[in-house]
Amino acid sequence: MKKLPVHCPSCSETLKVSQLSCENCETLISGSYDLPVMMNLPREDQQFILDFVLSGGSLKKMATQLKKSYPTVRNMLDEVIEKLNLLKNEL
Amino acid sequence: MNYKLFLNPFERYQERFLLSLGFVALCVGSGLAYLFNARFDGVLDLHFVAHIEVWYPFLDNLINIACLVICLGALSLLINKRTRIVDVLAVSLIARIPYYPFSLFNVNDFMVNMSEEILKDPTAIMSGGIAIPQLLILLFFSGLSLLAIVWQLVLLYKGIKVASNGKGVKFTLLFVLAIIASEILSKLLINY
Repeated sequence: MKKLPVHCPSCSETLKVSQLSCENCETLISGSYDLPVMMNLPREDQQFILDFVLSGGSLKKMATQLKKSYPTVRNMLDEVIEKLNLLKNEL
Repeated sequence: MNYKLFLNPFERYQERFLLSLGFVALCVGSGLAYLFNARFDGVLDLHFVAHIEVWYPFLDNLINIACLVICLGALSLLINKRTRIVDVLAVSLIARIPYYPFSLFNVNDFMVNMSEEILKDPTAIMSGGIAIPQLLILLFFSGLSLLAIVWQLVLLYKGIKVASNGKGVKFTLLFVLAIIASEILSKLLINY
C-alpha cells in the first residue's frame, strides 16, 4: 500500500487535497480541501486508532494483541490523544 | 536474551503476572531472610543480625512495599490521575527482587561474625588482621549490593514511569523525593 504524503517534500508545509477522481466514470473534482485530522498522524498512530476501534475500545484486548502491558497501551493512547489535540489546534 | 526485560518488565507483562511473581518472590525472599538471619530494615536496607523471629522479614518486606506504594502512588496520582494503584503495587513488589538473594551471604552467620570481628577492631582491615578471602568476600558483597540498589532504583523508576506516564525533570525530581520519603517512612515504621 502506497504511503499518503501529508507534508510537502519541498517546504514541509501540510499538504491539501486539490483533486479527487472517480475511477468508474473518470469524473475529476478540483478544489482545495483540508486533510482529515487523523490523516495527519503518523501511519503507526493511524493503525493504533484503527486497532483500538476494532477491538471495541478495549485497552485490555489491545494490550493482549500488541503483547504489551495495560499501562503501556494506555500511555500510547494518551500520546495519540495529545497529538490529535495539537493537530486540532493547529488546523 | 532480551536484557531490557530485566530493567523494564513493566512495558511487556500484565499486572497479574507481575503481582504473582512479586508475591512468590516476597515469600521466598522472606523465608531465606529468616533462615539466614537477614533484616530488610528499610526500603534501601539489608542488615544481618544474630537472631531473628520468623515473622520479622515478612513484616519488614510488607512495610517496605507499603511505604513504596504510599509514596510512589501519591507521586503517580499527582502526575497522572488515571494511574492504577495495582500497577504501583506490581512495580514495588518486583523492584524488591534484587535484594532477596543477598540473605545467602550470611550462611553459617558468616557476615554477622565478620561484622563483629571488624567492629571489635576496625583497624584490622588496614593492618591485615582479616584474612584475604574474607576481605574479598566482603568487597564482593559490597559491590553486588551496590548493583542491587541501582537495579532496584532502575526498576522503580522505569516501572513508575510506565504506570504514570511520567516524563521530564519534574517527574525525576518527584521520584527522588518519593524514594527518600519512602526510605524515611519505612525506617521509622520498622524501628518503631
